[in-house]
Amino acid sequence: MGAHSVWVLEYARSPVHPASGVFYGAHNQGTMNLPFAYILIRTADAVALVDVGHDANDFGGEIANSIGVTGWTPPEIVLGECGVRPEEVTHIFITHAHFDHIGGLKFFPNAKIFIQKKELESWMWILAKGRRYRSLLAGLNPADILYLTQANIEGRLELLEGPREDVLPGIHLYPAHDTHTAGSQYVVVQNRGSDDRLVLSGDVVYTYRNLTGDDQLDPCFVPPGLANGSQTKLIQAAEEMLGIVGNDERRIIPVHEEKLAQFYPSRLSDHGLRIVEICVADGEQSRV
Amino acid sequence: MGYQRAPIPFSCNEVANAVELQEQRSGLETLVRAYGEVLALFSFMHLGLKEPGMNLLFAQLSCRAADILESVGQGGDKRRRLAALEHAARHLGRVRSDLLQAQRAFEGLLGRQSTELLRLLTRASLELKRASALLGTTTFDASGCCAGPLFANAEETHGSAFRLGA
Repeated sequence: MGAHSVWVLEYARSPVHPASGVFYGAHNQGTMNLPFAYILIRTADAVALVDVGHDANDFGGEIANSIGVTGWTPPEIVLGECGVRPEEVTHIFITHAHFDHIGGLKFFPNAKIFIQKKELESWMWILAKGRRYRSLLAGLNPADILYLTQANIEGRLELLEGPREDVLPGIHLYPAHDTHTAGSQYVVVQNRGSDDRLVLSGDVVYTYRNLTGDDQLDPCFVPPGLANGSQTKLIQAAEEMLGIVGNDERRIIPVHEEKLAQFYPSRLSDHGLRIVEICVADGEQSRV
Repeated sequence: MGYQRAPIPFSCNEVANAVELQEQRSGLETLVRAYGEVLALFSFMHLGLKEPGMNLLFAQLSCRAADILESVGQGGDKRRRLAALEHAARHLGRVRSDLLQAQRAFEGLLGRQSTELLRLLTRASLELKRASALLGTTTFDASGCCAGPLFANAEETHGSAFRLGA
């Protein structure tokens, strides 16, 4: 128990995601089941999301279709499983600007949005370079940038240049630049005491296998395959995360990890989506 | 007295022009891609207007957008549109009009924010979405999307996995 409740909320999934996108060097290893999710953090005074999924009715939905994502469910239903309405969300921490992490912003009209400035600058640089660089635009929905512009005019966008500690009490944002994307960041949630921390990794760590490889007794970093930055930087960021949680891998929370339910309490919603309860604050009711 | 179907006068020669139809469709899809890229460039430029340091690439993005708009001329093919594509072409005409207005606004409003600019870009985005839906294509170029090419090849499992020695 502590000050923050944390749930991982699945909103869609791909049953045919190429393993090579998730694991560097995993060529010819077929496809895998990949949940698509975002994370809800509830504190005494705030309702925060780490990433927001995508909008199936936008270009993000077209990208999702092209990679076999199915079962998209709107945020009012997904968040409703935890008794939250989208309008109640006060803070959104975007780990990176891929469509499945930023594309649902329009559903949260009252939230302040936090993203690394470098993330947007890098996309600008790629666009300025022209079509020959378009492979680096993978996963970007330009319409999401238009929404960020609107949020900026409304005073709801904050571009970060590096770490931001206590963005909410006990919640910290740290950059993981030049990893999965140029301006990725991850979130640390600190409950009671310095040893009670969670790392919400974004796509710097897709699954626990990225942290350990196949042999738990002889662990080996296997960084994600899909990266605009470098695999070396991905490994360094994963090591940094492990340091934050005292090398307790299970306190790193990867949103694309299907095995989360093996380590934390969970249930399936009526829509067949998994709700994983990472921790529940004092006085908050369990949702699983 | 039973219901009698009234004859509906209808004749269509367009399907006989399958090649022309395909050519015109391809031309319109090219326009969608081009305008989609301009929209992305303008969106980032608009975002960069308000953020210190983010307008460093403004000139490059602006030049690139101008090049694209010029390369697709006055909306592409000047032949009479086949009726099946006319609807989509009209939406694309509106996209072009909004983007050209936005281009002029950027030239006049450099360094200042503009809700009018946002309105133009938002409307262009909606029109582009309508045109792409009518054409059955994607709004933006998705050919480089994450794992897209891999997905197209099914990424089958083979016996000998390449493991890089890990």
